[in-house]
Amino acid sequence: MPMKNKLSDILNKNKIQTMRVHIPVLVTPESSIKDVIAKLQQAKQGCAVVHNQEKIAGIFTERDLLTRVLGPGLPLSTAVGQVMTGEPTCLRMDDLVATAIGLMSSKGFRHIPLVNEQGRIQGVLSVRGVLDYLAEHFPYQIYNLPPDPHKVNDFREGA
Amino acid sequence: MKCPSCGYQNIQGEDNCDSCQADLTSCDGVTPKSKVERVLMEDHLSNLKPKQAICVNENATVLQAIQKMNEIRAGSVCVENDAHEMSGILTERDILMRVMGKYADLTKVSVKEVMTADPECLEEEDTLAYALHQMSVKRYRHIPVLRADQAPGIITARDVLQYLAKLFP
Repeated sequence: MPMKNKLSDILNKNKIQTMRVHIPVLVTPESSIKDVIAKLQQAKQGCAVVHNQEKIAGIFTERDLLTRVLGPGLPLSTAVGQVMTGEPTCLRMDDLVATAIGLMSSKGFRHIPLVNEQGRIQGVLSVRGVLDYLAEHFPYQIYNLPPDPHKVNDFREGA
Repeated sequence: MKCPSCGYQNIQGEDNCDSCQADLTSCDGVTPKSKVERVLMEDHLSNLKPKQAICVNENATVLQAIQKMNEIRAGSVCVENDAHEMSGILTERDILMRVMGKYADLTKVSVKEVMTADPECLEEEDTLAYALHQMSVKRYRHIPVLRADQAPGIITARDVLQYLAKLFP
């Protein structure tokens, strides 16, 4: 088999809709940080999408919680609209996987909201979703590994 | 299986060549078929140049740990005991899931109570495939990397993504 760069082919052809996308945790700008945290804990996600009449107003992530709320010591009754990251960069479902990877890698985004033509929120793409996608393309190299690389058996196997 | 040194055709699964006794173990298992597979299977974690892990004492308060994380702009800190051995890791996710809603006063809860104890570590000679395996299968975003002659480092999902993105633009 020729040694060629198959990954770029895959990434430059496939669209984001082929990846596993999170169902977004939706909140309004008036919600308190406390309510948002409860919703995130329930959904086991690290990113909430703040929306205003179906349009994205911003996102609120774990990182925002640490740097803008817990660090400065803001009360948890503060409205999430005051501490969110406003006007996040969004992508569409028919954008390329490579575009998403490029944005995450160059700008350091961990979550990218996905919207349709009307600007309605459809999902959230996370950095781990991207790693899963990469791992799934190399099942023999990734998933077939032993769980612990340094394990040595105490006894030899077999009879 | 063809012996790489003499070309003799051996039975599949043989440990040594029947003709010249050469070691055949390298012919077994998965062989990389593309450049990406080669990178995943052969590049060591030291190639990612892990950042040095920043540690807090396990008896520090969660608020101190948060201030440390904000100061170094990282999503995790390593936790060490009084003997300066790594005893756990505290990440943003631990704070979101285990602290919020349970403890009102962050100055009254110690890192030890909410950290992930005994985190799984990798070594710097392990390949990138292991890191991707742990991140994908076990859902870790931060993995401590033990190094021979230096303090432990830490690699994140973003480091792995950036490394791959740089190699395959």
